[in-house]
Amino acid sequence: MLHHLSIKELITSLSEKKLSYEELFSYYQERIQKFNPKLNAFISVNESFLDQDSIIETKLKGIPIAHKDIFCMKGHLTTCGSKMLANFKSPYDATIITRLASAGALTLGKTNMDEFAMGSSNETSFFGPCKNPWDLKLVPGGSSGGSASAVAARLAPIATATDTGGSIRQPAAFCGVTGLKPTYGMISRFGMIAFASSLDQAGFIAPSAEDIAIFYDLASGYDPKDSTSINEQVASTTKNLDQKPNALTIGIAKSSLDKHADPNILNAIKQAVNQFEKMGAKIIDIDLKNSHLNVPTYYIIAPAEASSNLSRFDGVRYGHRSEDSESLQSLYANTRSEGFGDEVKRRILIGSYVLSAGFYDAYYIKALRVRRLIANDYKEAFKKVDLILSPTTPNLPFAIGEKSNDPISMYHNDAYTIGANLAGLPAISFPIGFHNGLPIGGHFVAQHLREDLLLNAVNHFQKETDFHQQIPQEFD
Amino acid sequence: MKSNWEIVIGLEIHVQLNTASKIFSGSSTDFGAKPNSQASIIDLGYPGVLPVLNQSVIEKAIKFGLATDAKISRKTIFSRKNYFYPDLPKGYQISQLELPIVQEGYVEINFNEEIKKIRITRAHLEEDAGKSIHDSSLGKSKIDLNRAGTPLLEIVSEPDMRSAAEASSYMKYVHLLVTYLGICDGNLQEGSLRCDANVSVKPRESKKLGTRTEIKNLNSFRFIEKAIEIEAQRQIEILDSGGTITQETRLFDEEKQETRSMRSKEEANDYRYFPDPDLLPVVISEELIKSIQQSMPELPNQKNKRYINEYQLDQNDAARIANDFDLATFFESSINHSKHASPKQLANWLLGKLSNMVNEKNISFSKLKLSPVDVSSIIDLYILGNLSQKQAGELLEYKHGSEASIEDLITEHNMSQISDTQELSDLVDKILKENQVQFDEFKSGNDKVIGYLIGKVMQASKGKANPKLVKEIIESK
Amino acid sequence: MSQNIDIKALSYLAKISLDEDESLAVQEKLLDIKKIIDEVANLELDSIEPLYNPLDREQVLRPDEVTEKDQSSELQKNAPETIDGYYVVPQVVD
Repeated sequence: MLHHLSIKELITSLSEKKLSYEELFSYYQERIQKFNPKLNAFISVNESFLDQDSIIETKLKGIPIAHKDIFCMKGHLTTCGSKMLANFKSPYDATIITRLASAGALTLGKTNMDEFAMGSSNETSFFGPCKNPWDLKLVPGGSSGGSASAVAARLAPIATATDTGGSIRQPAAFCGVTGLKPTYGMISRFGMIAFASSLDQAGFIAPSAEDIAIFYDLASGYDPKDSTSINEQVASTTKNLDQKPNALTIGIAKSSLDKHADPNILNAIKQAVNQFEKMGAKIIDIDLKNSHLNVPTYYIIAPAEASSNLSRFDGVRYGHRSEDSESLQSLYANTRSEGFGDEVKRRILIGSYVLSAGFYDAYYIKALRVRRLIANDYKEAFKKVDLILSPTTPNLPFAIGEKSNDPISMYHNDAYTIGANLAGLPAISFPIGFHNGLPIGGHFVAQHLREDLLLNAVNHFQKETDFHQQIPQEFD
Repeated sequence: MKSNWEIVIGLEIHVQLNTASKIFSGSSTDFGAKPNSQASIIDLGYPGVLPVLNQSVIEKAIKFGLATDAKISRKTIFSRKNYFYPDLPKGYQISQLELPIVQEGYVEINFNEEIKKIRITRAHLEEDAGKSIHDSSLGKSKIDLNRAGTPLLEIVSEPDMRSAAEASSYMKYVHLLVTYLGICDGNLQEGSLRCDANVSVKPRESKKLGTRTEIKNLNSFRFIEKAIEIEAQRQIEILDSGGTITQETRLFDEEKQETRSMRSKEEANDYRYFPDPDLLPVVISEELIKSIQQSMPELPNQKNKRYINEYQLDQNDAARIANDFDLATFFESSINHSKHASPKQLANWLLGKLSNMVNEKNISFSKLKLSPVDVSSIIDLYILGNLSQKQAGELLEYKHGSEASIEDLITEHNMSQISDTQELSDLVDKILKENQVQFDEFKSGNDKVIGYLIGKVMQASKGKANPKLVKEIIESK
Repeated sequence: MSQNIDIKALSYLAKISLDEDESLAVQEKLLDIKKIIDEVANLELDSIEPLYNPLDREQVLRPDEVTEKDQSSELQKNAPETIDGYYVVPQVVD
């Protein structure tokens, strides 16, 4: 079955002409048609595509990809999971889309997501919740729920996604697939609808690290249109993927093994540790002593930046505009009240609060000071270790509706993932086990620009294990 | 105005920097384009777009800082100023709060025969907003975002000015300076400079400043002076009758000759400034500052001093030339090319005949279709005596816009001045014979008659005779 | 640190209108969030420099060139209301 093949194998088939890009694309289109109604992983699908005769000469040769609906795609609906942009057709392409299209990737469609990337369950989407292929009553995680769900059910060989506080890694963990958040600045944010500018990063979700490495090399690198884009040569991750890793030193922070985490998850971590030790790694204790401040710090910085980034949605130049707009004030207030969902409104309000006169120093600037402490903790740890291991999430996937009235509980979902965003470090989630048929994710953080180390370590883990190859029966 | 009140004024001048493209996008900054034809997705604040800083904007700001002896920040950052308004597409303006690029400078203005120092608190970079056109018949406002994203340098002065005329003088000087530096085109009609005035009054002896109001969008020197005077008067009347001044923003109504309070632009403004996370700190190197310092043009005050000291121009003439960048450039170039004329003589011609030409044609010296080379050549010919003053003037007109050489034009218009002594002597002889009575009068001591005789010779030669030589020849006869 | 959040003022600043019930509900939720973020607000940290951006890099400058063409007709297809090439809003009173 085509959807069992890795991307590397598909590329080989395509170049050997054993498979045509049309056949491959149609194959996935049919799977989407058949299975998406159960999952609601896609907001829009590509009905057709232009003939691409020269695609065989590209690196990807026509590998299909699903794009999170946060990436602007020229001439296509780009909704960001929101009513505000429900009918918005972007006039331009995001850099990541341009680069992957030039490299030969073909777009299957745009995937479902939490509204404006704010959420950890895909439940805030204007287009309805997305389901976890492992159990349709459960959430796939968020905000990149659609991408993770689509990949887990093999409706796409790979999907783009974005991560601000864990939005690639947490859904990857919940859906039993691999998800990479690169170093902040390694993939251009141009064309990626902004949530929290100093935290947002584009990345990939796919079954394996090997799949991701191929796409990561093509998408990453300096973009002059993004002032926060890194202009530095880095090692190719695909080239180094199979190299036997030098004895890795892996650090585990005590705080990440706290008693609030699901014991089955902690158990799976223990098993993963054994596996890495078998592979020659050394495991030591490290201390991320300010990690208990990750969540409060994030929930000051992210909403603050978001409250400003979302001011452009005012009904004047594009997007939703309220019918009820007698005055300028009511145009703004009604358009935004109608166009935004509750979670987005909350975050805009709390964001305005922490930036407002009298509170700016106490909250926003203070949070940026804590951010430095957190970044320093990682710096210290990396003097002793190559990678930091933890669970990706403290809990297993939860039921749709279970936490939607408890945003605070939802926020704590990201406790292990947020640190990497605050420090701008690359991080990856990869399947390390199952419990009662539900996937469990392990999480690595590496130093800046060491995506190669992350992908290499996970690649070797995935050669010795087969968690990442599991597909929910219903979709196989 | 009651003489025990003193007006205190500070000005915030927004200078549009004359870059080709906008501060954060590659759109054109040309004035007068079709609405929204120069508004890209970045200028329009589309979802997903990002700002990238224009290098030239930093260079121009540094130039201003160097010209005002200010501190240039080695690290400067941009901040977001958040508020909602239709001409502000992103719902925030990218501006500077902490760490502005220029701080603590000053200018010296000539006011009331004195040199007065006006301190500049800071000058920072920001993006301009778009324009709104209010259409009451439709009950709608129409928005053109071509101007959104044009780079501005906001120059904030200390409240150092003590009269409306002084404020106007300061604004004129800043206008001159930024034009001189080549960082702004100085076109007030097109809004290249806009001024907000902070006005308060206080009892003359008091050291404590009164509550101030801000008058926005004053775009001509005349308006500034009038508006400040009217506002000061308004404040004085309130205070004299026992009232208090409300700190607020006001607009100047030229028709009604009054200022009125602005409503609703942003009441209860909490701009929630924070550093823009889409931009990184701009680090300004010593090399960059040095290289800009080396390319700095001579400033008006420096030129003024130099013209007086080196060229012996009088104060008025020096000022007139130094305060017109195009004229000063023309003047200095003419000096370089001239072989016989002194700077003073060139100045006379430039401030006289050539300024008249420029005014008649309603242009500036930079648009004159006469080069400094041409002008100095023609004036040299006059100094040498090959042309009379009248002829030189005419030749300047003929040469304006003409491809023909000066020699050809002289021939064409039959202008060569007769300087041949023999030829002139013969002509003088003839004239003296015809005017024997007057010649006798001159010979017997009536010096004034020589003018008449010279005039007759000039007439007979159709203006071509060299008058100096003619005078010598007559005197020698 | 006051224990109340002025929802009215914030919703005015953020241009989000909330009716009485919504205001109360939002205020409750915001107060819950405030409890979490207060943990940061209550720290003494003046000696630590804020970390604005995880990249320790400088702004790259762009050459001063016009690179954009007139796309107004294309872009205005997205606009809810235009007149003669202008974007339109209810009249602003200054």
